[in-house]
Amino acid sequence: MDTPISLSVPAEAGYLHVLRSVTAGVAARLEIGFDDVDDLRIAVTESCNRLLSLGAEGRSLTIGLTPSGDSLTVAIEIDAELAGWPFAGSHETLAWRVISGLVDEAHEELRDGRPTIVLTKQTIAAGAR
Amino acid sequence: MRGGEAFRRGDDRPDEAEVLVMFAAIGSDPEARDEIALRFQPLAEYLARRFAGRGEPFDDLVQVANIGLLNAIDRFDPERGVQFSTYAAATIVGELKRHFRDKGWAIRVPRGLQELGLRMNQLMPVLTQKLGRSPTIAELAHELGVTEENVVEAMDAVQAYSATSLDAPVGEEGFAPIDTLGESDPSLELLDDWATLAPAVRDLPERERKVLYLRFFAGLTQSEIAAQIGVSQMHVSRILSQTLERLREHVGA
Repeated sequence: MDTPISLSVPAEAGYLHVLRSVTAGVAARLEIGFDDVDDLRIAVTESCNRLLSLGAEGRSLTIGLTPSGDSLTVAIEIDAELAGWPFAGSHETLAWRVISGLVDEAHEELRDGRPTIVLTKQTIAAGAR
Repeated sequence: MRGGEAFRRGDDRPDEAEVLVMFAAIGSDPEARDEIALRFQPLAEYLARRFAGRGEPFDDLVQVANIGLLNAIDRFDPERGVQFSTYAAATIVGELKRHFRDKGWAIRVPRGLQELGLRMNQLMPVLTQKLGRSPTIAELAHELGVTEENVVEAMDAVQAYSATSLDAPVGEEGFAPIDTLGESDPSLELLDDWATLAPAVRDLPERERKVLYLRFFAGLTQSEIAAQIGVSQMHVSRILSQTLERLREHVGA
């Protein structure tokens, strides 16, 4: 049940809808409210756009979805190396305010040197509205 | 509703001979054009209603129908022997169809999904009230008698519609005015804070700013915003997506 699901698509805006659909499809299997699923879809779109706009020469975007009993964690990474990311002050941007406002928890990290945005949405049982 | 039904029954259908007299007056009487438009307003509303329930606000459809009506008045040639009501109806329907085609709705989304999307729209507030929270996709699917995959597909269909209408001018759809964005609200300063990050926020149409404000500062859910401004949850979702897209274009971030 809690096996992570992952999918890679070309790092192009035209493929973002695939990632949105996969997110909704996986979220549908959890006790997550429709509003929250929709917010998560928008957050995924915004996160992907954020990664695509870094100027890093990535060829693919990979989404990893990890369902657990009380939440769904979505990690999106671009296969580019970008030392020093996340940059100082990068959270003082509109894009980040939007992303962090749409999910219960959001942070950025480097995974094996690759820029990654991690989003978490809680299930209804875990107290999500 | 008002003129529409009566028009279908023919009760207040303008007399064709009288209409020809009015057309003859257009050259000399500047008000004749408006007079004809007024007389055929019920036809425009009747035809707009036939296109209602496909995801576009009814008021928008009436506006589109009225544009078609004005075009019909300007292009109508009484010499041709065609009745004006026939000509006008064809022009109005053409304008309405073009509207849907431009919006990408009719051609991109399979009819079944459109209908499911509409049923979801109707059911959402009912279930939200019943459960005291947003329904899960499983709950929606169960209530609609479809699979969870169908619901997810319908969500995508609505988003596809949104993606194609990004170029369309936004902020002109009528919706109930709300007072939440009052002058005294301290959270407005936060919105100013956003505006510092992205001046484009300040340039957003009022409705888009309100939805942003309600979602990100007042912390309302999409369903709550929908109830508050009198549109469907999916409409709120579209407004949010479109607004963010628009801001992204301006900010480049």
